[in-house]
Amino acid sequence: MKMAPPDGAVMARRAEIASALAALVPDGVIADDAGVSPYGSDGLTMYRQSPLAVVLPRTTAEVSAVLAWCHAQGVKVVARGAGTSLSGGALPLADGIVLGMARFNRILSIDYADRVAVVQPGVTNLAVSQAVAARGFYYAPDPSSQIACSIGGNVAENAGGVHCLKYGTTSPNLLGVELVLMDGTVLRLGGAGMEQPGYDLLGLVCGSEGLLGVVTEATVRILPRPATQRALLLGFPSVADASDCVAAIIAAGIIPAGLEMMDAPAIRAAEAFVQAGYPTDVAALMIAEADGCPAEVDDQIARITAIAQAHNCQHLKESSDEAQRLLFWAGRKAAFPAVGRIAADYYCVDGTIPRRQLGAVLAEISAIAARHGLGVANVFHAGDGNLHPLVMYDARIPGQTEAAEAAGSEILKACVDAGGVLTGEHGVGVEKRDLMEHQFGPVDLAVQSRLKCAFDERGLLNPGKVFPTLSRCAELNAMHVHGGQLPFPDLPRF
Amino acid sequence: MVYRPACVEDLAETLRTAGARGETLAVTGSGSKPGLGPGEAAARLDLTALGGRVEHDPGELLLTAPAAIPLAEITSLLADAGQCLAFEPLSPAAIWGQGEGTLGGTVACALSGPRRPFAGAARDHVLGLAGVTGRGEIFRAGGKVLKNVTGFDLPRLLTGSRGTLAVITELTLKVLPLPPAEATLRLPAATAAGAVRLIAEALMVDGGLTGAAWRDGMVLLRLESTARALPALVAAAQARLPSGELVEGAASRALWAAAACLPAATDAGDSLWRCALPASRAPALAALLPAGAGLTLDWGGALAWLSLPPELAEFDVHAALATAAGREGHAERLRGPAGDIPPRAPLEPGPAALSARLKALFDPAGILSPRAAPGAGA
Ligand SMILES: Cc1cc2nc3c(=O)[nH]c(=O)nc-3n(C[C@H](O)[C@H](O)[C@@H](O)COP(=O)(O)OP(=O)(O)OC[C@H]3O[C@@H](n4cnc5c(N)ncnc54)[C@H](O)[C@@H]3O)c2cc1C
Ligand SMILES: Cc1cc2nc3c(=O)[nH]c(=O)nc-3n(C[C@H](O)[C@H](O)[C@H](O)COP(=O)(O)OP(=O)(O)OC[C@H]3O[C@@H](n4cnc5c(N)ncnc54)[C@H](O)[C@@H]3O)c2cc1C
Repeated sequence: MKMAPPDGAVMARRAEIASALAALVPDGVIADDAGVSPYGSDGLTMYRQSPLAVVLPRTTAEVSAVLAWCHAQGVKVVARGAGTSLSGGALPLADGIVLGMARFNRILSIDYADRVAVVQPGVTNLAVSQAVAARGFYYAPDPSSQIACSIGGNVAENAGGVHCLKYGTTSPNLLGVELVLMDGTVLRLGGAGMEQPGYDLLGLVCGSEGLLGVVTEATVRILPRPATQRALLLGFPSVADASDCVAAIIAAGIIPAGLEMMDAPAIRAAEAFVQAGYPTDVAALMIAEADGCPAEVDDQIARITAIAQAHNCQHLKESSDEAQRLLFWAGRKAAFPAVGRIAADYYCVDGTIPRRQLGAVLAEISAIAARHGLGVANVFHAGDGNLHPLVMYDARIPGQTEAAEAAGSEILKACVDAGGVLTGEHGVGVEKRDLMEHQFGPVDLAVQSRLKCAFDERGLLNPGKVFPTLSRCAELNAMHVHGGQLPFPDLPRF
Repeated sequence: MVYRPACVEDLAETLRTAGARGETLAVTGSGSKPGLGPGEAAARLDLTALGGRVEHDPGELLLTAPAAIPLAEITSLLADAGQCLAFEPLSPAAIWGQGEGTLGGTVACALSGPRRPFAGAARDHVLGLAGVTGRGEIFRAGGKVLKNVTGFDLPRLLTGSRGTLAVITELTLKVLPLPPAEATLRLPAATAAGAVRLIAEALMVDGGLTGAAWRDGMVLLRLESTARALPALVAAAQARLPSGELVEGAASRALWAAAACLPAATDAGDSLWRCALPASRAPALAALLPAGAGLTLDWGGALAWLSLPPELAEFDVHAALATAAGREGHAERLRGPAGDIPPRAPLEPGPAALSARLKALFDPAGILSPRAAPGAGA
C-alpha cells in the first residue's frame, strides 16, 4: 500500500498553516510532533502517518471556516471520529490536517413522537441507545465497537452490527445529516421525515468514507426495544452443516434478529477470554436470536431449534434469562480482542460472499493462511454473508506483517471470485483500495470517482482512500471509457 | 422518433449518438407513471426490447432481473416462493390506470408502500445494478450480496433518480419472506390528530406491525406473523388499544392491496398529491386543508395523500406543507391539471447545486428525461 508522494510545498508551510487554523479554532489546534502522534493511525494499526496538524472544532461554523480555508490553500483534510476504522479510512496524510470531531459530543434532541434523535457526530453509537433507554427505545445498528465508535464514523462507513440482518445497517436508520462540503458550504440532507425530494444524496453520503463531506449533525431513527429477546447457542460438527442450517432458516421464511457464526479457533479464543459457556468441541457455533412479543419469540425459537436438529446440531442451549443472553453475545462481541489475546497481532479481514459459498471460501481461507504460514480464526455475520477472517501474525517477526497483508488481499480476492465483494462493513479505506480493480471495471470506477467531483472537485477531502487512482475531475469529465478500455492506461497509480 | 435498442450495447450506442447530437430522450417503456414520467423530449427511448435472465435465490434473499421486466411478473414469481418486495411498491395502475409498469420504472420512481416504515424503503432493497450513463458508458454498481459497502452507494443514488442520470438495465434486489398470516385492526379516528395519537400508541406494541394507515375515519393497523404467533400479537395489540374491528386473512390482505393503492378511491378528475412529512406534523397539515380536500395517511402518519377536486386545483399544497412542517415537509403532484401551482417545490440551494452537478457528470449533454430531473418543472 503506497500513498501519493506528499506535497513538499504544503509540508514546508506547517507552522503557518497551524497558526492560521488556530485563529479559526482558538485552543483547538495541535501541531507538535508529540501531540499529533496519537492521531497517527486508526484501528488498522499496520499503517501510521502523522498529520501536519490536528484541528478540533466545536461548531459547524468552525468546521466550515477550516474547510474553506484549507480549500483556498490547497491543504488536504482527513475527518476523524473515534479512530476505530479497520480499513485505514482515518489514516492521516503527511501533507494534510486531521479534523477531529470528538468535541461534537452532544445529543441535541430526542423526539419520541416521531422516533428520531438528533445527535452530533462525535457522540458514540452506544450513547444514543443509552440516552433513549429509559423510555424503552434504542438505536438499532450495533457495531461491536459501539462503546467507542462515533455516529459520524458510522455514517461515513455505513457501519453494521450483529442485528443488521433484521434492522439494517446505518443507512436505513439514518434520516438526515448536516454536511459541510470541502469548500465550506453547509447543507442539510433529509430530516425527521422518511423521504427527501430529489436525488438520494443522503444515501450517497452514507458510506462515502469521509470523501464527500464532513458530517456535523445526524438525525437517526430510534425504535422501541423489543420486550422479549432470546438467543440460541447452536453447535455443529462441521461448518457445512452450520451454513446449510443458516440457508434453511432463511428459506423457511425466518429473519432472526441476529444470526452469527464462529469457527473452532474463534470459539476457543472467545471462550477462553469471556467464559460465555461456548462448547469447545464443535466445529462451528451459531448464535441465533429472536425478538418481539413472547409468543412470536417462542414460535421462532421452536422453528429454529427444529431446523438446527435436522442439520446435525450437536449442542443446543437456549438463553434462560437476560444475563445469559448477554453472555452469549459477550463472547461473540469480544471475538476480536479474544483473538488478540492468543496472537501477538491479528488482521481483521472483511468480505461478503453469497452464503452458499461459505464452505468453499472457508476452505480457501485456511489454505491461503497456511500458505503464508499463519493461523486464522473466523467470525461470520452468517445471516448476511459477511465474513471476518482474523489472520494471526506477529509484527515482531520480520516478514509476518507483509505475509498477513498478502494473505488478507488473497482472501478478499477469493471473496470477489466467489461472487462476493471486498467489504461488507469496514470500508475500503486505504486497506482495500488497490483491490478495487479486482471487483470493478475501469468504467465502474470512473463513474464512481466522478461523484467525488460533484462534492469535492479539487480532491482535498480524504484523498488516496477508496479509489486506486484519483484522476483529476477535468480528466474524468473528458474521459469517454468504452468497451472496458481506459483511454489513459498508463495513468500513474500510487 | 422512437429508439428501441435490442441489447445493452445498442442502448449505449443510442445514448452516445443522442448525446453527440444533443437529442433529448424520454426514458420510457409502458409509461405506467405519466405523472412522474420523463415529460416531453425529442425522441422516446423504449426499453421493452431489453430482455435478460431472472435469477431468484430464496435462500440468499436475492433477486436479479432485467429492468424492463413487468413488475407483475416479479411479484408473482416472488409470491410463489413465499417472498415479496418488502418495500411494497405502490400500484401505479391505481393512480394512472396505465398498468403496473416495470421493475426498472418501480426502482427509478421509488414509490414505497405501506411497509416502508417497518421494512425499509425501495432504496434499502436495491443491492446492485447495471446500467448505461447518459454518456453511453456501460457500468455496474453495488453487488449481488446482502451486505456491501464497497465504493460509493450508486444503487441508492440511482433509486428514485427517474431515469435522469442513467438507464438501468438490470437490478439485484434484496427480497424478504412474505409473512404467512395477517390481520388488521380497524379503529375509529375522526381526525388526523386522533389517528396519529392512536398510531403512536400502536407503534409501542411489540413486533408484528407492518402497516399503519388512516382513511375514511378509520385507523388501519396490520399485524403479520406466523399463524401460530399471530393470535397472541393481535391480543397484545387489542389489550393496549381502544376496541375496534378485527379483519382477518384474505379480507385483511384485500384491505392492504387497496391501501397500496390508497389513492384509488379518489375521483379521476381530482388532483392527487403525495406529501412526506414527520408524522407529528400531519395534524397541522390536516388543519390547513380547505373543505372538500381529501386526506389519507400512510407510513404511520409520515406520508399524506391529498386529493383536491377541480375547484381546489389551485390550492397551494407547497405552502401548506411549508407551514405545517417547515423544511421537513415536501409534496409532489402525481396527477391533475397543470395550473399555477408547480408539481414540485424548488429544492433548497445546497442540494439543488449538488444535484445539478451530478446530473452534469452523468449526463453532460442533458439528454436523459430532462424534464424529470430534480428542480426541472419546479
Ligand atoms: C419481456 C418483456 C415483457 C414486457 N411485457 C409487458 C407487459 O406485459 N405489459 C406492459 O405494460 N409492459 C411490458 N413490458 C414493457 C415495460 O413495461 C417497459 O419496458 C418499462 O420500461 C416501462 O416502465 P414503467 O411503466 O415502469 O415506467 P415509466 O412510466 O415508463 O417511467 C417512469 C419513470 O421511470 C424512468 N424509467 C423507467 N424505466 C427505467 C429504467 N430502466 N432505467 C432508468 N429509468 C427508468 C422513466 O424515465 C420515468 O421517469 C415488457 C418488457 C419486456 C422486456
Ligand atoms: C474491535 C472493533 C470492532 C468493530 N466492529 C465493527 C462492526 O461490528 N461493524 C462495523 O460496521 N464496524 C466495526 N468496526 C469498525 C469501526 O468501528 C466502524 O467503521 C466505525 O463506524 C468507525 O467509526 P469511528 O468514529 O471510529 O470513525 P473513524 O475511524 O474515526 O473514521 C472512519 C472514517 O469515517 C470518516 N469520518 C469520521 N467522522 C466523520 C465525520 N464526522 N464526517 C465525515 N467523515 C467522518 C473518516 O474520515 C474515516 O474515513 C469495528 C472496529 C473495531 C476496532
